[in-house]
Amino acid sequence: MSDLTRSDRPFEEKYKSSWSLAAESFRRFLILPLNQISFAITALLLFVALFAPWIAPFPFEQVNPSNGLDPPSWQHLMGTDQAGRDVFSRVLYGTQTSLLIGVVTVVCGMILGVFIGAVSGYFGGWVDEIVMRVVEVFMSVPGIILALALVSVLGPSLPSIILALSIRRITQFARVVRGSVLSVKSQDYITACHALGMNNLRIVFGHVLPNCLSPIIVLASVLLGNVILTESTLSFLGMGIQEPTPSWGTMIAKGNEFLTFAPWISLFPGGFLFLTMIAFNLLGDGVRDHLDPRGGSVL
Amino acid sequence: MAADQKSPVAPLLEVIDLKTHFPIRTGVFSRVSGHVYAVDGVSINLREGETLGLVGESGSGKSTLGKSIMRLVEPTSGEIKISGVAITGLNKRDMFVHRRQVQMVFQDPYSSLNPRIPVGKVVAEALHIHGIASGVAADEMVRELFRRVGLRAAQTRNYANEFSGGQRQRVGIARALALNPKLIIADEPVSALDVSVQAQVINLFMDLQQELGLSYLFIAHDLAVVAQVCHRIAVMYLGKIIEVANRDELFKAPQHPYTQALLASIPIPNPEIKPAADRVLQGDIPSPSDPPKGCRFHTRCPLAETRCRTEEPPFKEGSPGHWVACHLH
Repeated sequence: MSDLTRSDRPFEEKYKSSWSLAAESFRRFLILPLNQISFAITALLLFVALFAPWIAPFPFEQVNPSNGLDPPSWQHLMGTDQAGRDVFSRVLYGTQTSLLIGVVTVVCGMILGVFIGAVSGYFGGWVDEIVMRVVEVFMSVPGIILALALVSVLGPSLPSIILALSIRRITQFARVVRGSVLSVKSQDYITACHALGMNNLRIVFGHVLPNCLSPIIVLASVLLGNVILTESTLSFLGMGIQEPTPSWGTMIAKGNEFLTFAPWISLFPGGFLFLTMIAFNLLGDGVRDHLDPRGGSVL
Repeated sequence: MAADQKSPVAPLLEVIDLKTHFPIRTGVFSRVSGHVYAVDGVSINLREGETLGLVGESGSGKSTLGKSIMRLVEPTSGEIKISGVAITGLNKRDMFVHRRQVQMVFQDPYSSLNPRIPVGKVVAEALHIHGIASGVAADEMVRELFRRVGLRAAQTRNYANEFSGGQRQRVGIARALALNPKLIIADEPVSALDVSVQAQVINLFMDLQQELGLSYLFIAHDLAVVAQVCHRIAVMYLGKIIEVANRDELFKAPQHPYTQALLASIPIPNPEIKPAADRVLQGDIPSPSDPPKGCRFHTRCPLAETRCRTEEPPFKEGSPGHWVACHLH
């Protein structure tokens, strides 16, 4: 903290970069044990997703009918499914699928949603009216129904699942950012930008949006878990990721019929999904509390 | 109308019959159901190097007038001339050039600085977009500006939350000075500060005026502050200027009953002297969306007559340089 308040540093030093501020903020975030846990699980999941091909003992699609439905053993840590595929390897690859879909969907939703929300909130008027009515139409349909409808039209492939899940995220981001922009744009420091003759583009992206960062980050971390769960639901219903590509939702669905005598097929992907959800929700809560201005934190 | 100077050169700022009305929209279809007459026919002018105080209660339209002159709020009608050039009809590009001449200092030192951007960066950005300086040269100019307003050069890199209220206001002044303006509209620049800090900031304003020959439109509601910095004072009530006079003249011989009431409300640091009870105003300022007919002050005026209720008093020059809008004068 001391170097934050000291101001008699040499002139050569550049503006305190937003990176060093972010690092400072992150250090304070990790003080809470709950944040440590959620961050550790998230980091682990990311690691697993990135290095799945190296960690997994078997290729995810390798079938071996002779030892189907094997219970967990040292060779197959999480047992095998009805086709003799290694559940452990498939769960690891499933992490990859889930995180990929989660991250890509949230990033797509964020980029478009932030842009739409910023334009809508900043310029107001009829643009705002139209955008917000469209957003409300999308919000009025339950998320899973919307996704199911879109996937059934587009066909269940990775891009169409991402598209189906993104549309709702766009509207969610747009709404949050619009509200945030509305409150920021009436601040005197924005009026001062107008007085200095800055153009709208510069004001929106250089001065308004940096002040909407907290709600954007919070929403992104909350939605990440949300999207992964929706993807698993879609897959469980058979409208998501198709075999043989591993997805937790599909694995849970396929293991359903063997649940009484080979529960490991559904149990382990379910456990991973559960863990992921806990981690992302805790992370979202932690980030929200951390960025709450009443908590006295910047960024 | 309100011209009290006979100098041959055009005044720095000339506002002629300016009106800024805001529509009130109601219902599903945003139908305009009325207007807020925030500024309703104001004429003022300001010479180079002069400070014109603009006083009045909350809701009298002082801030809207200031923002209209900056065209941060679009005036409904009337004319604004800066150095003889009418700016009311200017398009965006011409207005951009004109922005260099008039700048603004805001009331709230907390909401007037962006919490996410180093304070000096905004000033450097202004220099850059106006093509005055960029890169290292701009940084050097920003440091110079900071020194000029009594901050340390190294503080250009700090964020707003690292400053006190008074320092923030100094940053706001540095930002206003960046484009080297002739006129600064100071919208209650000290009312949010501690009294001791107020004095420092007021001194800064006066020093800057000496050094740079600035003109100020100094909006305030604290008459003690206005008395210290202003050469002339305009009193505003419900969107209209009701009295303009030199500072000493206004304090010595206020003509309008409202001005008299305002002056009577200044606390006297002597418990023996009781304020004149009949001069203390009763009630609140009427709604600017439905201003009273006739003289706007008649609802609260202790001296109101019949014609005050029906007939709007003309704004006339009682004695040289002292203009007042009251039937009794």
